[in-house]
Amino acid sequence: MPSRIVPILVISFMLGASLVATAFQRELWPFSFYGMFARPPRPEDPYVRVVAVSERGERFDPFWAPGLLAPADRFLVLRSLTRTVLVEKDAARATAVLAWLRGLYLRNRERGAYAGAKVSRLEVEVHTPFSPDRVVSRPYSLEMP
Amino acid sequence: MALAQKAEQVFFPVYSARALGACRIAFYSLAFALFLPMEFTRMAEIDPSLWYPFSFFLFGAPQPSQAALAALGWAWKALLLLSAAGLFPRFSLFTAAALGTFLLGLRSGFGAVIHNHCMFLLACWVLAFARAADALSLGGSQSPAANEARGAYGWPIFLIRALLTLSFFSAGLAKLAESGIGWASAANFTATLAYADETYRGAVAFPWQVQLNHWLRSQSYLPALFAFGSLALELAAPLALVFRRLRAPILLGLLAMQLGIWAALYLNWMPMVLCYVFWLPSICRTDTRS
Repeated sequence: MPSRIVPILVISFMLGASLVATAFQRELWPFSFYGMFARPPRPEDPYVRVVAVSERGERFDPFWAPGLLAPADRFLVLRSLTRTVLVEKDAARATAVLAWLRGLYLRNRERGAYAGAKVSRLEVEVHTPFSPDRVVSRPYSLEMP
Repeated sequence: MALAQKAEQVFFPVYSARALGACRIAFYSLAFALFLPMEFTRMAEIDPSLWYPFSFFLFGAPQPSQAALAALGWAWKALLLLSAAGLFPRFSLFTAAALGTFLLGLRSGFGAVIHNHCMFLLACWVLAFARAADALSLGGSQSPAANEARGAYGWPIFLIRALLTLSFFSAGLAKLAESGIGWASAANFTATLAYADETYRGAVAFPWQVQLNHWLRSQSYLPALFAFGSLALELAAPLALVFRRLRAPILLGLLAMQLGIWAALYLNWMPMVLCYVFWLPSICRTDTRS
């Protein structure tokens, strides 16, 4: 006859943790997707994106520059910047992330060019999805050498 | 006494070792196929400035080399296969859960947390403590007849189903608590589609997904219909645990919803979809419930 101690412990822990996780979220990953009491993202929530400025002044989204980065890498930078700028408001880390992105550009400058013009500056912009063309703020920028 | 018996029926339902074994084979085989193309080595290339310790990584954040990550990645995939086959089950099921949590956790440590793998990992941990390889296993049968009546094969199936339905219910409740029934309005769902298009377009697998997103945003009533349907399904999810007749429509609806999320919002919940296999013993009537 198998003991029921292990199943009872596992059931209690799993169900209990999934309920507790609704309050703690990120700290209790992988239970953190139980969002019962968590605030879901709102459409008006600000988000962050990097804008590349070409030497001719054109502004374009470097994340969609073909061949520059794999989708996963674009994602990582985008999400890290969002957290850094909006949640932690950590200037040093935001600059470090931007510098990391600049390094990627310098290694792939031809592929990252915009219609033949080289990128002269990277800027961090804060938008909202409701008005993606309206810039709420530009907290960071980094010149390309 | 009646309450205790009822609780026992709920938490320890009677399922055969074959039913749990079939779930194990389907779950880990599909997981192997799903995660086979996944690369872990690129985590070593990412600048440490992008790393955000979280969860158990708060106790220490190892930075494995590219070679170590490659070896760990292949070891994990091999463990998924061993788990499907039921070979060395105590070792393979537990280590697959632990290594999977570490590797998929590493991916979540850069920026925001990836939630798509959470339910899959929780199911792995449940199976790590279950007698999931007593039948349909290359390791051989371990005379499971005595265990079936005590629900030794039923509790993991129940628990994974409960965690799955609870996740949907909590998502629905969060929407209601935060936005009320207004969450199901066409305006809100259209804004959600726009947010996804702006934020997650990097994850698009096919160009028609973007077209579908834009087409849905141009519709008047369809977004509200989908939003209301999703909210109703999420809130109704726990009913699938209780009412057998509601099981198929609710589960098929939730599956369609997750495929729709992938198609129009670009978010891939396939690892979570794997957990639907634990409903198969009921749908295929392979359980031995008396």
